[in-house]
Amino acid sequence: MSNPILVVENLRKYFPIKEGIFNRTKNYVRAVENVSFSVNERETFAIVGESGCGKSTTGRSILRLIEPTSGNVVYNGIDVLALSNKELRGLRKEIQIIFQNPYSSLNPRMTVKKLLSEPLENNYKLGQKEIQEKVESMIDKVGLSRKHLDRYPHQFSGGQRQRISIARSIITNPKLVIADEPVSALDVSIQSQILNLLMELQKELGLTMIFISHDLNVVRRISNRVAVMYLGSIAEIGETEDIFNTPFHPYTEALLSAVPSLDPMVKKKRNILKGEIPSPINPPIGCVFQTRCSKVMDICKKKRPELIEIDKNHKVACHLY
Amino acid sequence: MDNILEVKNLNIDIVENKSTKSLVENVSFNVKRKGSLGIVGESGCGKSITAMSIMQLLSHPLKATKGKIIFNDGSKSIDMREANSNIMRKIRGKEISMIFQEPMTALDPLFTIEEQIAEVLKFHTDLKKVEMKKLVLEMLTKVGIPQPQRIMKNYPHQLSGGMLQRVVISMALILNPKLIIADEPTTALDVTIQAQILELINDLRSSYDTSIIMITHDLGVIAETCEDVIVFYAGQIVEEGNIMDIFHNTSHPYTKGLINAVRSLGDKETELFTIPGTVPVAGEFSKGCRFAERCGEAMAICREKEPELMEISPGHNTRCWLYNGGDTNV
Ligand SMILES: Nc1ncnc2c1ncn2[C@@H]1O[C@H](COP(=O)(O)OP(=O)(O)OP(=O)(O)O)[C@@H](O)[C@H]1O
Ligand SMILES: Nc1ncnc2c1ncn2[C@@H]1O[C@H](COP(=O)(O)OP(=O)(O)OP(=O)(O)O)[C@@H](O)[C@H]1O
Ligand code: SF4
Ligand SMILES: [Mg+2]
Ligand SMILES: [Mg+2]
Repeated sequence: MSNPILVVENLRKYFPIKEGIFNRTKNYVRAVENVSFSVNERETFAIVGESGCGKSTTGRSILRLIEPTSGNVVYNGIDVLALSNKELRGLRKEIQIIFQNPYSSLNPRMTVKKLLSEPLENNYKLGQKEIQEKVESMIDKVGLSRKHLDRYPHQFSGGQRQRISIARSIITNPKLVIADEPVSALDVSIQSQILNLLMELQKELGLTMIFISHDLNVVRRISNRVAVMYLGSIAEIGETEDIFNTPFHPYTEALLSAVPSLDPMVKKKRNILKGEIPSPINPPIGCVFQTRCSKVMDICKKKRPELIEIDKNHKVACHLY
Repeated sequence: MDNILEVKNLNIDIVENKSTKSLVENVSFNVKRKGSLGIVGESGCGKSITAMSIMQLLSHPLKATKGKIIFNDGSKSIDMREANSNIMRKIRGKEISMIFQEPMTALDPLFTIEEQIAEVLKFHTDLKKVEMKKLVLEMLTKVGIPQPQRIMKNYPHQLSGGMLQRVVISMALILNPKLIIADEPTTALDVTIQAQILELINDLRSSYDTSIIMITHDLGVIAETCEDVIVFYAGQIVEEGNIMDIFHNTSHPYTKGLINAVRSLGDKETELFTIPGTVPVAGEFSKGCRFAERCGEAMAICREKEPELMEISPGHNTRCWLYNGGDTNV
């Protein structure tokens, strides 16, 4: 099982903030701060956490759609950050990303047919007929109609666009997919259809997935391991069932208390976090969660807790442990 | 009249290659004053275009071809389909505002967040610059944007998905409109912030008597914010009622399928439940029930004759032969 296909070490992304008439960089948004994890072949590795905590930035940095500030990304033994642009393009055959926002990621001037056949044309020597077959079978799999192939992205509903974007990402049979909120715009039945499709690809073709999502029910259902992020750092990481059954970090606990019930009639009392969210420009000394933590101690304001293993494969960054 | 909005027999058509197809057919519903109506349904079934037609935002090749959309703010009542563009501009954002499903459709990448939200205020009020700034800041704080002072100077590409969604929510709420049409307002938000936004919307309802139309795939959100629900399938309403009717006395096989799909998420052992087959494409509906192809309970009549929306208990309507005499009617 532990055969990592991707290793991320001490990944950092600082966005410069330019100010004043000389446009000087005065400060940085520390969107991703020292993030390390590895993803095993054929597994689904989920990343969850508060809106704005750096999940998408982490995902994009792995593929260098955003250049990371520092750190290491090793995919299948390849040092990704050392690759030339040309080599990087080659790698993008194997690693695909499903963007959070299909509205801005699909080229508005391409028909669906073009959007789906383009990645095949670019990367494989396939005949027109084979391409057409692949495109048609993919469009069926994501629950759209072949009649839709000549339409442009703006002629679809939000959920239909999201499915076009998924189809485009998986049509080349990538080895690793970074899926950023891939099913957020889908009704539950189609969501299930897409999740079943991804799980099937995993079984048949050995697909590995990084799955970024706010839907904790979905995450619990489909992922093997989870990383919980808070303000740019990993607060807790471990096997999915361990995280959901015995969350250690106070942030994870608060997050899980807010999971909506699967029965729409059960109204849960949600535990809304109180307290200021600290600035990613000047994160506090000590633990980044201290301003909202119900169990905060003196040491939390002085020293940043390190991510340490406190149970088998279960790591947490919190002074309580 | 105790309804703020009445949609009657609305049809939306699409003109493509000289042929006309119907995307939304004969849809009628009311939104009660201070009420909240949830809309759920299959992806692509016509929820967003119905919402856009209320705001008169459809553009070629889509067109509302029939029906009335009566908006009554308590003192006057107008048919939105007949209102000229001047009147519509005054209504949009002020009286009725819409939270768009995809935030970037409502935002301009070339302007800062502050400029875009202030634009709404500029158009509808004569507030001074400082007052506008104060309001913008207040609103961004209410939707839980951290360091609003800094973020309002940012451009859209510098914000995360969930932050953009909250910016769009701020734009829609800032003038305390009488009716809010929220199209998937919480899809990009984590559960804690989602809870905060829903609380904010519920607060607005009690402080300003705001009415809500909430379009969402998340049945939990519907249960938490809505009194009435309509279920769309293939451009029609297939079931409508209050939340108890819909969740506890579910009648239509499509609605039952949706609820099963949610429940199956809880079970790690089996494949996730999906409704078999795919939704038919507009213009190619078979002559019977539009769901018949995918329905596990379909009978002979279902493939022959289209069922009407029928009342099965007071206020609870369903479009299904199972509740309508069934096979005996053939
Ligand atoms: N180009 C940029 N310039 C400056 N700041 C940025 C830029 N892109 C992202 N950020 C900031 O980095 C932080 C992390 O953003 P990111 O998009 O990774 O969050 P996220 O975890 O994906 O959130 P969400 O769940 O809302 O999508 C945010 O504070 C955001 O404002
Ligand atoms: N400009 C357009 N040209 C052609 N067809 C369109 C256009 N806009 C929308 N449609 C079609 O109209 C139908 C209804 O779209 P709508 O956006 O209302 O769906 P929806 O119910 O909101 O779906 P979702 O849940 O995926 O957002 C879809 O099948 C879509 O493909
Ligand atoms: S009318 Fe028949 S086919 Fe249609 S939903 Fe009802 S039982 Fe199923
Ligand atoms: Mg994101
Ligand atoms: Mg929609």
